[in-house]
Amino acid sequence: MKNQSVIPIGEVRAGMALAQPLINGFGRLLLPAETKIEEQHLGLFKIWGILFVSIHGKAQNSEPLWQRLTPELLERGLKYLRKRVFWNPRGPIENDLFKAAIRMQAWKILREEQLDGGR
Amino acid sequence: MITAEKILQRIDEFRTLPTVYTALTEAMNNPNSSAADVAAVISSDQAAAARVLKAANSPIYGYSGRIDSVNKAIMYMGFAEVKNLVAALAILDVFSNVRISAYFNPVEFWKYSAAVGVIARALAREAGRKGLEHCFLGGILHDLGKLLLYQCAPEEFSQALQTVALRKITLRSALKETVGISHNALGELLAEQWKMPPPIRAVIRYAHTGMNDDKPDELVAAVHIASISAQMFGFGSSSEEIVPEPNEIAWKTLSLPDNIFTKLQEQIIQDYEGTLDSLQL
Repeated sequence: MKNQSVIPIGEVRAGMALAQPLINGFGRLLLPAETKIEEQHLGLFKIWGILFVSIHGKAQNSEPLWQRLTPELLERGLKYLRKRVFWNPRGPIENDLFKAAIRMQAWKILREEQLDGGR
Repeated sequence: MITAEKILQRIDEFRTLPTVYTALTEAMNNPNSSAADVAAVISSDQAAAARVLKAANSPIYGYSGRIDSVNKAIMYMGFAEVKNLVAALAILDVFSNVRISAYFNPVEFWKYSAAVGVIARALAREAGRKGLEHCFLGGILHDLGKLLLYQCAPEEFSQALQTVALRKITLRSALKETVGISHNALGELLAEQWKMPPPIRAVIRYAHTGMNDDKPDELVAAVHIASISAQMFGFGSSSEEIVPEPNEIAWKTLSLPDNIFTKLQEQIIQDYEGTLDSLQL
């Protein structure tokens, strides 16, 4: 486990090697473990709906994902969250839950845009 | 229109869980059973044994590639974890033929359910709770009634989901209008038929309230909070648009640290991805 990192597909680069097989929602093997990622795979991840992959070694960018999200992205994450969440946080722990959820949604927006830009 | 009575009749007809799970339950409930006995039960079902080994070697347990027998899997993962995994896989098999519709995607639903299991377990672990070994399975099964309804009354279930989307009401309210019974109550009946342990049945019946029949309950509270968190994080799809407000008593029951989600977020993502892999989702 120490030699593996789970990274978002926006950070996957050619030359990395899969530590775990990629399997789709129907149980079909997309790529076996140890596959060396090539440029052509990067576009396929979007088509396959993959969010994260396990790679061998440490992620190149070890900074937490969340620290790379801009205020603009976080604002868009909040707007997206507000389409489904109509209550307001009532205390510190619900504030923390909201912040974590906004980061997740902002990160998904970033990922979508990175993928669209790379196509 | 199908009635609650007809759905309840269908529960009686519903397939039983695969033999390996019922045999495993018997072996694990027998005080004279050894780890070797339990391993023998799992090993008697080749598919179950292979999936247990695959899960045991996945990154979430940290023993990658080193567990080559069911005996070792039990030793490293523990009885309860192996049993919960076999149960989750058995139930996935029972509902493996459920098809995607405009209002319900079973694969996304299982992803959401797996996320609830992962988050409930992470919250309980972080809070230092003991005796919460049912967190993972309880999380995975808490919305079992939705799958049952989708199998037994697809038209009424889809109609209820449309009503939820249009009128922004809860699925429970919509189901009471269409079939006269909630998915929580139906799920509990199925869990009872499958002889699931009482804590799991309580989660299925009451996780949406955050309390066990109006009484504080750590397991029910953990799954309640995990369910809301999974929906807010966007893991899979619960099939319901609106994310409910957490019950304040559930927060009090768990007494979690204020920054728990920030602290656990990356770990939860890793465990979620590993669990999807283990469950082949």
